[in-house]
Amino acid sequence: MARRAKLAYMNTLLPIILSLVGAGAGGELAYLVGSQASARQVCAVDVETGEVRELGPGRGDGPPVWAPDGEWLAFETEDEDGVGIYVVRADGSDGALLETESSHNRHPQWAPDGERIAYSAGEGLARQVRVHDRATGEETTWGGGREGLLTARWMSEDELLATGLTGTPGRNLTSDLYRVTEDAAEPIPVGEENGGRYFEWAPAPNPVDPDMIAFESNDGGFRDIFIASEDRGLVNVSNHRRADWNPAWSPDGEWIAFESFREGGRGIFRVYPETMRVHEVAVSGAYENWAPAWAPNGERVAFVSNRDGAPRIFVSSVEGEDAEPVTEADQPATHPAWRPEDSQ
Amino acid sequence: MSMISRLMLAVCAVCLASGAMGRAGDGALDIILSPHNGQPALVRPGAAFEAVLTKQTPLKLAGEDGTMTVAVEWEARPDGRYVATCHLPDEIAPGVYALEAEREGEDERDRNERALHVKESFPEVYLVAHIADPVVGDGGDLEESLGLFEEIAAEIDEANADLVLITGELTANDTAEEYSAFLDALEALSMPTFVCPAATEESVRYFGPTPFAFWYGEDAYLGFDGTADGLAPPWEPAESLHYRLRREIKPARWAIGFANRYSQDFPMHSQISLFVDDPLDLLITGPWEIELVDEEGEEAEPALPWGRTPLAITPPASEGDYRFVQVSSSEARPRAPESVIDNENNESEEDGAS
Repeated sequence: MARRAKLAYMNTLLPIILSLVGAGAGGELAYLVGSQASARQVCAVDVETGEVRELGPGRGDGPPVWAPDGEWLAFETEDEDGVGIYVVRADGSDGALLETESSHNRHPQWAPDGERIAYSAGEGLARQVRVHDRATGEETTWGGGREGLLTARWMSEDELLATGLTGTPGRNLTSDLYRVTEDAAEPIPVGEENGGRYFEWAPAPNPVDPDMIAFESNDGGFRDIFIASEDRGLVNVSNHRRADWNPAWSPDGEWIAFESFREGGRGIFRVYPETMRVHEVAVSGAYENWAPAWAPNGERVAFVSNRDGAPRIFVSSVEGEDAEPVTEADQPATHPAWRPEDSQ
Repeated sequence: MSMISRLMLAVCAVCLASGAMGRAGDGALDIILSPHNGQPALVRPGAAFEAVLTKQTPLKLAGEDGTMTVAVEWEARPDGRYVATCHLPDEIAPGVYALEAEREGEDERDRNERALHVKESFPEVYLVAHIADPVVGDGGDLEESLGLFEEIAAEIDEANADLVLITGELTANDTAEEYSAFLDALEALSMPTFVCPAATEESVRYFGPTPFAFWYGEDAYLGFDGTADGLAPPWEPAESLHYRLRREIKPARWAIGFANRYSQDFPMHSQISLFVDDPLDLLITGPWEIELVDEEGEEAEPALPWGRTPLAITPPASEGDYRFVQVSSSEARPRAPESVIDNENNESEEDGAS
């Protein structure tokens, strides 16, 4: 009840604040709100008006993912048996859990057709990629049933890009990139055969050329952002002695935003892979900035910052200028996701 | 009443008053959030240590030789807390000190016992004790569970351990009564004790948030909740803290992690930071269940799935067990677990034989 009261207060106050600071430039963000993991809730905020809608059940919701048409969202949420995939309309109606075989399902990703949802099913490291077709209600195991596929993102209507485990636990287990179809999971060669030395993570297919993949790896000694493509092979595009994490392509596929510790605390940078020149977006020695999300028009970035104490979502230009909060200071908010432009 | 009796009464009154002002009424951390007897500061004379407080309040150190005011530089944090950089005088005597915060004339007083250990030097070869899951109040019997912990504490004290790490479930029901009893029992250990609980809202009230790191001479220790549910303060994302703490202790001779347990659902960037990119030299945890088989299909020793960090799983103190780790320039070697119950049985057998 206290949270609902605060959200109502937020609905009243935030538009006034936003009109005063002039942050309104349109768009809508879904995000997670709440300090306790078991009570986190997916909400959405209109960036221009500050109006907030509660969308998730609020019982340990996970990061929201918009359907391509912006009319639906999917996210994981805790249920009686474990963790389920919850699907809800953008206005908060028709929310329901997908029927799944496994009691633990995480990391949902909408297919380009907006009908199917891929997710990681199972517990621990023995997870599989499964795809739920909302039109038929059928759940299919992809990757030929291969276990150890931890996350997956769609490259096309019939291919997923996944992180998959290789090697033997306790000896040489590591994570590589896999191209996953319904029938098979094939490793994507990135660089030389590494014998389990390098650990690839957070792969992201380029939205314009899905065969160009950004990911992070400790290939070379430090965790950096790499690009693998047929044209250029494997290229380290961030190259720093401190860790670089979580690459996110701009909608036009020209830039990559990422998190880096190169200035001490975690900050947000962007790199133009053609020149490998790195630019600051949100960086401070006094507080942290993370989770960059490109606006659909590629001109703004939403991110999380703890500059006021609790994490709060800000929106700025891609150059980092005019950063303004879009959530309340005393409501920890994380995992911003822009609603696709076509729907607004 | 004799003069000596009056003097003793006065001393007792002072002691009681001191005790009453320590932590909050229910034993939870109050004005001084750190250091405390679960995350003490280990410092050489003339060096500085950091304290975190909820109020900017004058600080004093109370030791065997009396009380002294601390020279402090203050910094306000965005979360409303204050960081006090406390400078110790060169001539401060080695020993154990309580940290006091008190503003005269106002109702602002706090005292954290055994918050500071001043040491002239740190040994190159030393003994670490690990206690996992004391679970005070287990089985509904506070006295019995405390008895086991006190026996373990006595053995560790007798073995002259230099450092004690306590992880996991501290209490059975997260009640103030259990935490208070655990805090009392902790006082049986004279050496620095570092407490890294399985994070709950209550454990944070009594022992502060995890993760945290500290140095012991040339070595560094990183305490964390190795499960997916570990509560980091929401304003300091856990994955980022794990990376930064691991980086801070990178120059250490040995970098040793201690945790309540390890879960494969532990956030992946935390796992990457601690076990893959810069693997810890040793991880000590409380018990957790995992079934592993080797390439021949035989049951294998529990191990972290990736990286080369050796793993030592200590059986629970609630069943009478604990473990020593011998640290030297050549190794950080976990010994086989010890048990006060075995010792009791052995003693009673010996008693019977005699």
